[in-house]
Amino acid sequence: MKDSPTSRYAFNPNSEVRLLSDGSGLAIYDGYSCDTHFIHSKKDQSALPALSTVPQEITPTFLVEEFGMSKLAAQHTIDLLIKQKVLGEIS
Amino acid sequence: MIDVNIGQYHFSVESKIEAVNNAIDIIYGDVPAQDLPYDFKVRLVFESLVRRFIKPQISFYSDQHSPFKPLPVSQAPALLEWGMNWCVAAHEYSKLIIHSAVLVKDGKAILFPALPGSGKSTLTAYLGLSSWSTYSDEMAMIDPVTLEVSPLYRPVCLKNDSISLVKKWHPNAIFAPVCKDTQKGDVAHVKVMDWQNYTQLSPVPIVAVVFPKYDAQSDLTIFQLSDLEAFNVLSKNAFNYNVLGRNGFDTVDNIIRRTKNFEIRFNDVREVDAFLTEDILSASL
Repeated sequence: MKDSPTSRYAFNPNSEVRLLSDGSGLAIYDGYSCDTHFIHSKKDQSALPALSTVPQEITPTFLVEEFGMSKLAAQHTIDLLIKQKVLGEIS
Repeated sequence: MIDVNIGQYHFSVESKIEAVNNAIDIIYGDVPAQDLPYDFKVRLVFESLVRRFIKPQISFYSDQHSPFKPLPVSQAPALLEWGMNWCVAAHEYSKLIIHSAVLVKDGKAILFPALPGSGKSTLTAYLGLSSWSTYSDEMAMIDPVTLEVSPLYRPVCLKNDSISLVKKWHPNAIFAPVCKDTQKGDVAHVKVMDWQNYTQLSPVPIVAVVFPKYDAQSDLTIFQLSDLEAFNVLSKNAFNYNVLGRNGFDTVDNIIRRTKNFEIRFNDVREVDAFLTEDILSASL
């Protein structure tokens, strides 16, 4: 999937996203498959102020800045979630 | 027909196998007869006349469903227990059911989800026959609204070396006869409480989730799990997580927000007992 760094993605309408309180990542409920997906933060949890609000949109830059991912890992995570129909690109 | 009351569910068991009827009497014989409707009607039957006399095999049926392949008749008592587990796990949708032991002390529950071979049942039998109450060896029954876990009146299923180990620790423990050479090895069910004690139990809140792993080479080693790791493992160990859908997701999320979550490696159950009592129960409100 070819995306520009500025591409934005939203969770599909039947998803539910939870910010894990210790800053370890996001848990995403996929309303279509009933599966649960995770975005694992690479940041040192003790160094966090964790995110205070659940993001409504995801961008590669967001994952790099907030979850400490490499650009490659961020794009791979987004590609995977698009493939699983958890995320959709905002046009 | 034999009545088997496991507290929350009532079974009607049809069996003409003496070893099964004997095991039921050992494990559930102290439950007083109650005029309750049956939740499940199950049967242990020979599939054919040939298999009744030549290498006899037995099948488990719940109504018309037979979820397992036929097994040698010598394994029938274990097959009944596994079948009863299946009935509950496959049909109970009002609670989140996690494949986990549940041990309770001072009105606080600790869940022990684990893979086979992790030492979960050995640990459960040791604690359950000591100062803890065993709410379950196999299934944590969690109310999605209150997040409290309810007790089941079931034995603990021990395998292989753990049978003699628990007999050594607790010489007076009551065992059903050993079923030899099952797919899990030698299996015996041990009674960890009597009916009188069971009736005193009530739903309690969960204060911790501990993923145990027996390791003969390792003294007690404790790892704190992140919320994400605990969420992942807990949801993967739930029998009906996907069936409950969003409700299952919310329930797991609510549990891990209230619990401390650990993975432990151990080679001495007494050290685990001390850790649970002194570091988890004492620290929780």
